[in-house]
Amino acid sequence: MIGDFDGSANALWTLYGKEAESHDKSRIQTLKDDMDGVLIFVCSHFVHPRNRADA
Amino acid sequence: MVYYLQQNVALLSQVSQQISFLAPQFAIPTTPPPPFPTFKPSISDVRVNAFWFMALAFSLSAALLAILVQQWVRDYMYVFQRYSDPLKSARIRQYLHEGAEGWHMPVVAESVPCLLHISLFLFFVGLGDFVLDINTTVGLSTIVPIGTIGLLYTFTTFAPLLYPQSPYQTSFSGFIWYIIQRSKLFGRRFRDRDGGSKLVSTHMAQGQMQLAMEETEDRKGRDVQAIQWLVENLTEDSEMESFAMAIPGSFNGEWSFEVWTKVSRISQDENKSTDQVEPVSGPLTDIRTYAVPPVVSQPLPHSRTILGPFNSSIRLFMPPAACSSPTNSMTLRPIQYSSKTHHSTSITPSRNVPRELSSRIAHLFRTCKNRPVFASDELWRRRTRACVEATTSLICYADAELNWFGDILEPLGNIGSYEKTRELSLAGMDQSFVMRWTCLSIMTIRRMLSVNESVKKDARTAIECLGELWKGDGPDDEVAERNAQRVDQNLMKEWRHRLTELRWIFYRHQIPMSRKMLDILDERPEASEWGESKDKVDLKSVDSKISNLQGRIDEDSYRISRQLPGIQFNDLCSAHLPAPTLELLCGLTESTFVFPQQILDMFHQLSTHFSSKNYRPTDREREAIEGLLYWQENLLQRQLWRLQDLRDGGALGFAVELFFIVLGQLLSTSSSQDSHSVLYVATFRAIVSDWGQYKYSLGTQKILLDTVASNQGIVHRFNYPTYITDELLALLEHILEGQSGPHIENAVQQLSQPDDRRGVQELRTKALRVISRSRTSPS
Repeated sequence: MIGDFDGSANALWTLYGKEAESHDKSRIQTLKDDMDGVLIFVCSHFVHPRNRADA
Repeated sequence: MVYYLQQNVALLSQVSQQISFLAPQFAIPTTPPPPFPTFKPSISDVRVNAFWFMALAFSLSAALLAILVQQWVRDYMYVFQRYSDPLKSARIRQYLHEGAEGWHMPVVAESVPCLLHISLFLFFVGLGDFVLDINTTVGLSTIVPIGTIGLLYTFTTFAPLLYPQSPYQTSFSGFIWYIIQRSKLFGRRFRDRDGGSKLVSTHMAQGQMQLAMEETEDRKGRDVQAIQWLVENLTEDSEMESFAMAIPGSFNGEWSFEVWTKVSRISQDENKSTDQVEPVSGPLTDIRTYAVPPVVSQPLPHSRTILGPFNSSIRLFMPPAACSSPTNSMTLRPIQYSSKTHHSTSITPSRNVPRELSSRIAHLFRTCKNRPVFASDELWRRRTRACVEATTSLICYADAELNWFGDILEPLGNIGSYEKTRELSLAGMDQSFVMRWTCLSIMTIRRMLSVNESVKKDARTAIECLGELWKGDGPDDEVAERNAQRVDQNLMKEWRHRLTELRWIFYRHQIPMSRKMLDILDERPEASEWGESKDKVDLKSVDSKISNLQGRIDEDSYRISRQLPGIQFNDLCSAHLPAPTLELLCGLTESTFVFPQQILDMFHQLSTHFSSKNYRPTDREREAIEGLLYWQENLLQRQLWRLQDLRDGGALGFAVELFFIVLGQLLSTSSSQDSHSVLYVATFRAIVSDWGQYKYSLGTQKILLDTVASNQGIVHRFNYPTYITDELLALLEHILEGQSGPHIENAVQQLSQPDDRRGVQELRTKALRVISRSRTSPS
């Protein structure tokens, strides 16, 4: 069974793309925010104090 | 530091030795300095250091992981921007998505904040240990807040497991949730749509979703709260408009119905002191739950006082505060009139949600009156439609009362003429709007007619006019009825003559005739009283009086009466061709008013057509003739009852008739008969809700009896579903309770004759039972 969808199935896959995008984006946005939070925390506590001590 | 100290000590001892060489007279005991103590960190120091360095390691690895995760996520999302070909992009996404799920990327990502939290707590523990070692007081004052935070954190972690609605959660909650749901034994369960009990998802957010969607009483409460919240928070007209547009759709199905009932119930509980209408629970069509109302034989006080100098219909409407009659108290459930019918609910402001909503929509309705304000007709139309549909839904489903909406007749009439609801209905288009508009219109017309003095006056004049056709003895109404019967008989005879004329035409053209037709044509018609000289009685004045009345109703209802679907009009217009004339005659039974002189004129017109040499009936005409074989015997008599009903009965019977005719039209174009049963039943109940006041109106009794009892009663003209005929019979039972009279005897006699039409017999038997029951029950 070799073959592929032709162009007329594009609508379906566009729909899939849209759905997946909204799904992934909402999920990834929260992840990214979490990661940003972690990075900011770590930076402020471990990087800045030493900088201040050096100064 | 220790190192420097030791160096200092070594140097000092060296100096001391050198000094002792210079001054030997002093004998200085030279003691070699003690050996350096070997460095041995205390256990506490080790602990503190271990904690702190672990904390450092954890937080740094969290940072590293965070950077990595951001990178992964960026790469993952890149797919959507990279390829424009939907298929390619979809495949790559699916490929990567499977990988991400299979390798538990979300779990990994969620564990990053966990690492940070662990690191923080390690630091805290180390800090506590360190400070406690130095000083107990300082230590305790540090440990207490740390401990409190720790406890709070633990609670937060477990809170969503105990109360899934809890907003507090930590990164660990998800893991614990997963473990608990995996263990099956302790797992939380929910009922899914099919009613089966299932374990809640192992994914916490999804699990919360499942619990939120679970079909429970709690969810109903939440829905109710949500609607209430929405109503309170919508302030703009445009917002209200979209809300109004959304209302009709929110009444589909049992669930939504229950929710709305609850919405109105809650508010009723809140202001119980002002409640006059208390719904009695019971199935919708249970006849027995109708309560017996107090007998109100006197007209309401306000109906006498409304004849103002300007007889416009706007003045005929009570302002909401004055409408305290039960006319306007409409509930879906069978209603019970409290003894204090004159105590108004409307005076006291209340926080009732449907009430609040109604006043908002009433405001929206008022904005519709000023059509030029709207930028386009389309905008106006949209708003008006939204108002109409929302109003009907609220009245029918949410126990709202019609008078809460104020005077809506004018916008209703305008939208009716603009949308051409009659045509829409005939074309079977836009059914849900047409249906709601029609239901609301009949309710509004009924309310208007019941207090409209000029309509009553016109009806009175028309009856008097009928009474003067032939002089007779006895009360005016009886004379009028006899005269009406006489006109009916003559019309009938005239029509028979037309049929005989037709017979020759049929023979001449050798058109086959149906069995029914042959049977009827075999009878030899009697000559009517009028014969050739038709102007002996003054039927013309009857026509003009009725035309006046009709004009008045049309005008005062803003021509809504003209737009009701299914109602025929037999105005003083003249159709010259035979086909339309015949069709007009066919439609007589569906018209609100008939004009005897005009019918007579039409007969004569037909006669001229028939007598012309080369007349040959077309198919259309033949069909119409078939429909007219049984001439409606009591056209004028019925009309008289209708007039009496308009005069004394507050148009109750008139409205019921109108409702049934319209319903027939609506049902014939709608796909399913039961889909809007609640709406129709509610409309019917709203129309007849004040039957107690008009129980003793003879015209109303007669016309209602006729709808069921007569051979050609309205109920038999269309195959009406039982939910609505049951309502009619229930009304009949209550109206006839304790009543007697020849008209009831007559109806019983009519009903006792067997009828072989399908479905009709059953209804007639039921009706007979209802009537005999109301006769035997004590008054």
